[in-house]
Order: sequence, then structure tokens, then C-alpha cells
Amino acid sequence: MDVSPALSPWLLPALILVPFFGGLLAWYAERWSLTWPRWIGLLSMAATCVLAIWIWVHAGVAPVVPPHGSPEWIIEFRAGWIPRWGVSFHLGIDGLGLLMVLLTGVLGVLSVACSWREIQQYVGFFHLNLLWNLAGVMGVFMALDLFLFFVFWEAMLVPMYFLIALWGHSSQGASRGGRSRVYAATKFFIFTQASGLLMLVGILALVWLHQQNTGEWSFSYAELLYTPLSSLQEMLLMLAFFLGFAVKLPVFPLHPWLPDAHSQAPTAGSVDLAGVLLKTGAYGLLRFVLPLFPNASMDFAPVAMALAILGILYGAKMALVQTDIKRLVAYTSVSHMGFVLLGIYAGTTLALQGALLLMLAHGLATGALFILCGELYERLHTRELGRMGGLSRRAPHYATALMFFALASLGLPGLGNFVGEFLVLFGSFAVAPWITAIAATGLILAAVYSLYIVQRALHGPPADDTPVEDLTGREKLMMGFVMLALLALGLYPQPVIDLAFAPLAQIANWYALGVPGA
Amino acid sequence: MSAALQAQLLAGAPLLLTAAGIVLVMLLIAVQRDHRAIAQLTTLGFILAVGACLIPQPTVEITPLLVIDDYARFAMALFAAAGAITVLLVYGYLARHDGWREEMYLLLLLAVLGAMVLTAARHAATLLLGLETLGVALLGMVAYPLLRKRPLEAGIKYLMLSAASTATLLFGFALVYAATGSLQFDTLGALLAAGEGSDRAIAQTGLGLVWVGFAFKLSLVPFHLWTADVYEGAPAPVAGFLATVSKGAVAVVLLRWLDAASLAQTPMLTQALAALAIASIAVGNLAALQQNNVKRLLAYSSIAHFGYLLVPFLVGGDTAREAVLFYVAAYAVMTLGSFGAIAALSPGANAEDADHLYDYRGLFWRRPLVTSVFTPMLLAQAGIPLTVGFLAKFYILAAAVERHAWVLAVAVVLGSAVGLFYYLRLVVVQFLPRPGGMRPETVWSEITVARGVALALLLVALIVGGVWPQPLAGAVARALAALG
Repeated sequence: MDVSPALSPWLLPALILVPFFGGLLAWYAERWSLTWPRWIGLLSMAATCVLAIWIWVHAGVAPVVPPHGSPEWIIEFRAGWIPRWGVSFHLGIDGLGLLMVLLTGVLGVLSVACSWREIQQYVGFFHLNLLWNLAGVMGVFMALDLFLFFVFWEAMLVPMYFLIALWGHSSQGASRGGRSRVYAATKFFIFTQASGLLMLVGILALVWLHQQNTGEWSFSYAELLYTPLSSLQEMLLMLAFFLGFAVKLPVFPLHPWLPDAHSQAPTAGSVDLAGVLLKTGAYGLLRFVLPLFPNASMDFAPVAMALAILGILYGAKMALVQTDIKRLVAYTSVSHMGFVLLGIYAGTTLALQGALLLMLAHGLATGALFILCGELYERLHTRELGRMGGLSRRAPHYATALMFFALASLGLPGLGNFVGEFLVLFGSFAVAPWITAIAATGLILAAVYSLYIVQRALHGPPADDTPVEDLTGREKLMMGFVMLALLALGLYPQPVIDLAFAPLAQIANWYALGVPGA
Repeated sequence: MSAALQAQLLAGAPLLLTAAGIVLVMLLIAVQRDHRAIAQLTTLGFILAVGACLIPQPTVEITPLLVIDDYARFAMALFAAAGAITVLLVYGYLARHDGWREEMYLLLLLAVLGAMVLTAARHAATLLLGLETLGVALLGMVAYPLLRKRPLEAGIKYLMLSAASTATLLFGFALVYAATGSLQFDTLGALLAAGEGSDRAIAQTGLGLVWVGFAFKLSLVPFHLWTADVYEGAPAPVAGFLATVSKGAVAVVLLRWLDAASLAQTPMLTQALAALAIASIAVGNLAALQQNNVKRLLAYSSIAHFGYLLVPFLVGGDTAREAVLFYVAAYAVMTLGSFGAIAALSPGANAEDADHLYDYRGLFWRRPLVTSVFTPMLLAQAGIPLTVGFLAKFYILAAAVERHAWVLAVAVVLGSAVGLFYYLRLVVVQFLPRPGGMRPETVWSEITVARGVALALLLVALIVGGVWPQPLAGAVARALAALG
């Protein structure tokens, strides 16, 4: 691939450094004014979007599978780091990574924008944490060195922990099974960190096997791809990696941190968690688990797909019985991520494309839903569905937005989620018809819970007579933008599919046939 | 002066400098007590000792007792630097102490001298000599605020258990000597391997007893009972020094000794020690969960840390030895920083240290600089990346994976997961609002600047070691090349 001169390798570290330094600056700017950190946050995230789009425009990716077996990157950045362990500071981006980076940038802008009014305390420190978290996520989506990947993977947790623990909401009473925000944050941290350390053991074992083979320490993705493994080794390593990513995704039995973290987190934290952090799990499966351990993944696929349908149905079922609107949306994430998991382990190019589109659309739609929940909380000071009602008359613009995103979430044709879910089911049917058929019933449940939100929150008699402020200009702008993005994904997803075609088709090939040269 | 003597003097320079420092401080105290001058002199002494360690030299053997090689120099530099940091921390702590303040520096120099002797020991006699110099000086430091109950109690406890562990060590060495006829480390391995029948049994019993003695010093379960009380009672800067230098020096000498008395010859001992490691990780972490006293919490976490550190000792190999030395260096930074932060908050004098969890509420808003040091230190102990603590844990896991010690690796992982809980609790409490006290409380003075310099240096070491670890990793590898 010809690299256009506009694509300097330094663009990649810039994607991480802009939010990193933006965060520091925002922290410092707090002493000047409370508005400064917000603008700094907004501008740095917007800058990352611009960088990502710049890369997209200049990349000129052709939607063909690369002829040879090695992965291809649009841009690579490499610098020495720890020669003792063969660790290098190696970043690279392909269509898949680029889309995830763009999603991170867009949701970053939304996260800053949605906290404009909500966060009034320690504003500078809040933006420091938010931006550092996003910087870590950027790193996760670009790291091509497993050590570096792990560093970013863990580093993004600490700011997230602070976001939940310091700016979160504590539930109003133990009677609802509510817990404090510190509890939720700690639970989130321990789940992800413990599984992450297990993954680190997996990474070390893989690197050690590579070292036994070649005599050299290396954490490089491109080199570890070709490590020959016995089937037992491959299975164990795959499980270690899978566990690390499955907690983040989350896969059904490993999800208990998610509803707590979401319902306790501030709005920006929820947007960030649902929109971006969950995607790091799916990205990890796509980027590392399938290519590094294709055979074991293939053997494991029935289990993973079974977990996927359990997640789809369980998430939907749990969503149905929630009375807290934020918790409800949180459970729908479990359900939607089940579809993503199904698509990933079905492993056909079509299913992978579906999973990717669903990730993007879910990030936007659920992000918007969480923002709407946050706005509702600002206005009504409750998240109980029972204490809403009649909002369609009291706040018509708000009601329209909520209706739109609820429909997006249930997979209405014409919106991004539909394309994603359709492609996942279409691509998986050839591989596992029965599982796909059961998974499809999840769509019915999705319609039920989405309409349940709409009905409970927007219609019926209002809970009280106090007027409700409708969407402000800032909020309308945010919602309008996300609506447009979802419509674009739903009506004309081709550019996105083209951009990620090469990496996804290659992953599908490796998954089906093994990595050549291995 | 012969060339050999000159080389020996040059190689022994760190030891000689520290010893000269002790004499000078003693003389100065006799002439005129001046807290600041003595603190400055002590710091200068430590800095010179670090400088002397950095001069590249060949391995020099000084009598059959001491060997000064790169390994010893690395550890000496580490402990001298820890001493210098402790001076800066202790200076503010003692500022309002009513009583003699200057002897603390004397004891500190003595303790570091003992630690330095340990790092260079290649004979059981040197080992015991170093341990006793270190232990007795530390006793004085722990019980330094004589008018307070808790330090006194801690001092007595430390004295008793230190004596007991030394006695065990002595007996162990005596048995090993009876069986092999040697106290020299380098001949020990071959003689142990050659021993047969009853000799072998005696030697193995001796080895077991020596390990028990070391386990006391490293506060491994079940020989850990003194730790929490001593840490709680000791003045905060001393507790940090105790955790770092006393335990670190023992780990360093253990590594040298173990090279000879390889564990591979005694599989039963290895298994017993593996059980000890897992028990230390479990007990340390679980007990730390229960603590509301920050110093006790750190004490139990240090038990867990030395459980982790025992893992590379057990698995053996080149990576494992690097892991030990790297961990000791990283642990020194993290622990000195943590206790340094506690020292910065403690009033010193005759008041109790600030060690209750509630003292830390809202700290970020009251003392932002202290929190900006304390939080990374705690996160590093929890093993979060971009700090040297992560690299340390990485080394240990790498060593365990390399030798297929899966059980130990999983124990380290699970222990770290539990550990997160109490580290995070201590971290987050500093950010939570405290009713009635959210105003900045920083005062600038000579004392806070000295402390600030110490904490800033530790923070820089923590972050640089985590972000750009190659220099430290390279230094560790070079130091270990000397061990062969």
C-alpha cells in the first residue's frame, strides 16, 4: 500500500498525546475558570476526531484482502522501549482500529458535552480523568505490541475508577438493592484487573513459548502471530485471553460489574463505558484471540456462541424487569454485546462486518440513551421509571430523541443497529443455524424492552405537575448529531464496510484456515 | 600502598565513607548539637556513598568475609539512597521532637552500614555481623520517641523477635558448619551436594533453620506476627526505612547465599517455602483488608509483597534473579514513598502519627501534593502500569511463567486482585469530601521543602522506572552478571 505523505507516523502517538496533554491542561485550567476545562476537553477530543478523519481521507484503503498472510497497517509507528524484554513502542492502525479510534473520538466529544452542566465539582480533575481514560482507550485500539497493549489496557482503568467513584451517584436507598458508587467502582476495577492479570500471564506464556522457539524475547503482534503451539497450549492461552476480554465485553456470567458500574457512574462515565470500554473487549477478541489462536477459537466457538445467546436473552430479560432507567439501558448493553460475540465467533466476513457495525451503532445509540438518562436525572432527580410518565407532552423534543434511540436500539431498519444485527444473523446462519435462530428471538425482546421504556417514560399520566425543561440547544445539537450518524450508518454503511473490509476478511480467513506460516 | 590494597580501599569506599560518617557525626554531637548540620552531613555522606558505588570497578574480595562486586555496589547504592531519602523525611519528623534529635542520624548511618555489609557478605560471619548491626541500630530507631508508648512497645517486640531470628540463624549455620565444615558461601553448594547420610540430614536441618531465620526477617507467614505492631508503633519514616532497607538487604543477601545453597537440592524445603509464599500472599492480603489503620495496612501489604518476592527465589533461573533485584528496588521506592507520605502528614513530636483512615479523608483537597505522591505509590503497590510497581510484578510473573510455576503465578494474580481492594480504598478516601475541612493546608518551610524534595524524587523514580524501565533493567542485569 502506498503511504500518502500526508500520513506521518507521528499521527498515531498524537492521537494518544492530544487527550493526554489536553487532560493535564484541563486540570490546570481549573484555576482560571470552570468553563476552561470543558472547552479544552471538547477541543482535544474534537482534535482526535479530526486526526482520525484525516487518516481515513488520506488512507485510500481498497476493499480487497491483502494477498499475503501478514497484517497490513495504514500507518505504523515504532520506537524502542525496553530492549531487555523485546518490548517496543509499536502502534499501528488499520481500518478496524481507525473506526474504533473514530468512535472513541466522537464519544469523547459527547462525553465532554454531556457533562457540561452535570459536573460542577472538581471540574478540572474530572476532565483529567475523562481524557486520560480516552487516551488509554486510543492506545488500546492502536497498540501492536502486547506489552504496550496491556499497559494501555490497565492504564485506562484507573481514571475510569475515579470517574465512577468520585462523580458517580450513590443509590438512594439500600431497599432497591442500590450500592454506593465506591462499591461499584471497586467492583468494576477488581473484575477487570483480575481478569487482566490472568491475560498478562497468558501473554507472558505466549511470549515465553515464542522465546523458546526463536531464542528472542518479543511482544510484537506480528511475530507472535506465527508462534507454533500445541493444541493444549493454544486452548489454555486462548482461554486466558478470552477471560480478559470477556469481562470487558461482558460475556454472560462475567457481567455483574456492568449494571452497578453503569447505574452508579456519571453520565459521561456511562457513555464512555458503554460506548467505548465495552468495545475494547470485542476489539481484543477480533484483534488478538481469533488471529493468535484460530484453532482453539474454532473449537471454543460453540461455547462462546452459547454464552452469546445466554447473554442476549439474559440481558434482555433482566432489562425487562428493571425499574431504574439507567440500569435498564445497562442490561440492554449485555444483550447487544451478545450479538457482537455471536458475530465474532461465527467468524465469517459478513458476521464480522456485522459485529463491527453493531459495535459502532451500539456505541452511538446507547451513548445517546445514557445521555438522555442523565438529562432526565438532571431534570427529575430520579431514574425510577415509575416516577416519570407523560414526558411526550411535557418535553416533546426530549421525547422525540428518546423515541428515536429506543427504536435504534431495537433495531429499526434504516438505522445502524439494524444493519449490524442483520449482518451478524445473516453471517452466522450459515455457520450455526440453530444458535442464530435462538439469537434472533432476542430481537423480539429488544422490541419489548425498548417500547417499554418509551411507554413508561413518555406516555401515560405524568407523575407530577412540575414543568420539565425541554432539551437545550447544546443537547439538541448532540442528539441531532448522533441521529445523523446512526442514519448514515443505517442507510449507507458501505464506506465503513469498505474501510474495514481488508482486516476483517483477513481475520475471517485466519480464523477459518489458520494463520499461514504457522 | 600496594595496588591490591588500593583496589580494596577503593572498592570498600562506600563502607568506609559510611563508617567515617558515623565517626564524624559522633564527634560533632560531642562538640555541639546542631540538628540541621548533622542532617546535612548525613545526607552528604549518603550521597558520597552512592557516588562511590557508581564508579565502575572490577570485583574485589576483601578478606574471605567481603566481596565487593557490581551486585553489592548496586544494592549499596540503593540502600544509601534510601538512607538519604530517610534523612530528608526524618528531619521534619524530628523538628519538634523534645529530646536528643541528633542520635537518630547516627543510628541511621549505622543501620545503612549494616545493610551494606549484608550486601557484600560471602561468609556466614559477615552475614550475622551485618544483620546485627542493622537490627540493633533499627531497634534504636523504632523506639526513638521514648516518651510514647507505642514506639517503645514496638521496639521491644522488634528486639525480641530479631534476637530470636538471629539465634535461629546462628543455630542453622552451626548445623550447616557441622555437616560441611564451611561457612564460606561459594564452597557451600559443592559441600552440600557431596554430603551423605547423617551429614546430609544435619545440613538440611541447618538449611531449614536458616530459612526460618530469614523468614522472620522477611516477615513471611507464619513468622509475621511482629510486623504489624512494629510498623504501627515505629515513627513513620523509620517504618518505611525498616520495610525497605532491613527487608531489602536480607533479600539481597539471600539471593547471594542461595546461589550457593541451591534449593534444587532440597525439594521438600522448596515445597514448604512455596506453601509459605502462598500463605504470606493470602494472609497478608486478607488481613490488610480488615485494617483501618494505614500503617498496619501497609504492614500487611508488605507481608503480601514478600510473599510475591519469594516466588522468584523458589523458581530460580536468570529471570528470577533479575526479578528479585528489580522487585527490591521497586519496593524500596514504593514503600519509602508511602511511608514518606504518612510522615508528611504526621506531626512528629509526641503526637501519634496520622495513621487512621479518617485522617486521609479529603486529603487531595487539603494537601494535594502529598496525595499526588501517595496515590501513585499505592497504585504502584497494586501493580498498575506506568509505575515501577507494575514492572516489578511483571518480572515476577515472567519468572514464574518461564519455569511453569502456574500455582505460584495464579497465587500472585489472585493476591494482586485482592490487594487492589484495600489500596483503592485508601486511594479513594483521599478524594472523598471531608465535612468541615476542605481548605488547602500547605505551609511552606524548610521542613516541608526537605520532605517535598524526598517525595518528589521518589515519585520521579516511580514514574520513570515504570515508563522507561530499561536503565533500571539494564543496571539489574549488569549487577547480576557479577554473581555469575
